[in-house]
Amino acid sequence: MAAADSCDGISTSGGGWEKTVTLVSSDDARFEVREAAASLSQTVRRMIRAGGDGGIPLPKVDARTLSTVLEYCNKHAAVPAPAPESSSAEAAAVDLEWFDKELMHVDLATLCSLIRAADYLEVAGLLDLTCKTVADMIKSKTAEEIRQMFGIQNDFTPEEEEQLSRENAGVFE
Amino acid sequence: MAALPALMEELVEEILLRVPPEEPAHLIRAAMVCKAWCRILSDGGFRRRYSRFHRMPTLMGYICSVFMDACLQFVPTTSFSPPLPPTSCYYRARDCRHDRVLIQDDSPSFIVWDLITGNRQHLSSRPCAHHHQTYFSSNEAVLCARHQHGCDHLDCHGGPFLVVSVKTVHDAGAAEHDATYTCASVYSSETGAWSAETCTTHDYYYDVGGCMKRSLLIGDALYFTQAGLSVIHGLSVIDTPLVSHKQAIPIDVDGCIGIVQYDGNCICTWSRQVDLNGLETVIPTWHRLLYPVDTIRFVEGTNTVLLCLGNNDRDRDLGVFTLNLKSRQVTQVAERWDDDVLPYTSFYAPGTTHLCLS
Repeated sequence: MAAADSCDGISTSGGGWEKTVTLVSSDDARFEVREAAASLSQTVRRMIRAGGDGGIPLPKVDARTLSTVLEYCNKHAAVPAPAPESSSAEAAAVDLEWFDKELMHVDLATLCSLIRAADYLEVAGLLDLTCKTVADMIKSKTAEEIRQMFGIQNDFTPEEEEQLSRENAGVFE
Repeated sequence: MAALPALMEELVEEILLRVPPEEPAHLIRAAMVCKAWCRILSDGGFRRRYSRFHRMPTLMGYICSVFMDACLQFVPTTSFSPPLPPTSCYYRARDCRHDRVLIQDDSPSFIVWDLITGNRQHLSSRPCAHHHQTYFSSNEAVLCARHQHGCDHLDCHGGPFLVVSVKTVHDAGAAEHDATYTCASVYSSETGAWSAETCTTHDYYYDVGGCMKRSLLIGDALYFTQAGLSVIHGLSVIDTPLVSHKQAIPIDVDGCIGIVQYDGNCICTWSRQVDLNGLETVIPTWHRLLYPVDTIRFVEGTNTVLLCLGNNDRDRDLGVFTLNLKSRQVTQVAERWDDDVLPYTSFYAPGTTHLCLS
């Protein structure tokens, strides 16, 4: 574990292979987290490699959002390497799916904060999960309903709107 | 509700990328939200990412001939419903691929109809090189002319196309012995001409035509039932273990040729497997349904078959369903089945129409 060896300079603790790192949110909350979990974030992984003192600062993520991100990372990093087609691997996959579903039971503002955080921290799995959740929310909505959801102003002129509807009228019911 | 902090455009793109493709109207509505979203969705780069992300095109519906109304019809399975050209009772849809429909008119010549642009192009008749034909059957396929050069078929509508015509001929008077051979010729819309024929002779008469037997494109090779044809490598005939069974059509199993056949409530797919010693075996997979299968089509590129289920008790059909051969999920997609059914698949994203604002 080359990455683990090189992070001795920053606040790691614990014995054996369960090393931890400290992450600091934009509002100065400190989170001590297993390095294996924190390393699901490519951004954090790079900072661990670079080394440093006093914890890893994450100025773009507040404490509330970071705690949800870490909840995701802790759960997903705990999964052992899957032995394909074994019943325990299948059960673990079902459990993870259930966990992800539960984690996404939040309002849209929280989801958007999580998307931004997942993008900044480069947690690919969480970015996919959150974007997919929002995509499922908008898929059956009208343009006006989507605008209301996100507080977006309609910046089309009436002529442009009419042109768009006309172009799709012959093709879509 | 408090206004949301605006998401950066690339994060909106990440969300839109994950809108499920089974209903193209989802993205059309999203494009009407605001100019920024419309810009994202109309971009060619987005369409490419979208098709790579979802990998499989969506079954948009099927084209069929309605004998009662003497015309071709598009039966939608999503909200996408392109207009078809006015046709007479002699017109038959022969093939459909890459947003184009090949229609045989009453001359007997062909029309290629572009489902996205609405353009129609008339083809010259295929020249007849053999004069002693006793009987023959024929089949045709249409495809984008850039397919062999890696076209992803997201923007190729309106562009050049190829029509491949395969004819199996039993020639009784040409020589001392009767001859049976299969000939292929390719029409290019760029040259406006048919190529010279490529022929292969064989011992048996292969019926390549018939409404059941739509061509199948896997990679660069086109397959016609009971006779195999590769676009690049010329003609070759592939033996199948099931020649006695008529209700069999070629399918794509993970990029290799397979066969699906049906009998009563059962659908069986056959796929080839090569073991470590290089021995080839044919593996059957059975799917049992509650109702009898009346007829079946393979939906190219989707691991799905389109099937019409009969009803055990009544004369009327139960409806038209899709069966995913991997997940075994059965979904009803339409009520009515007619003759000459040709499934139509596409990745329909807003930019495919002229929805680009200045």
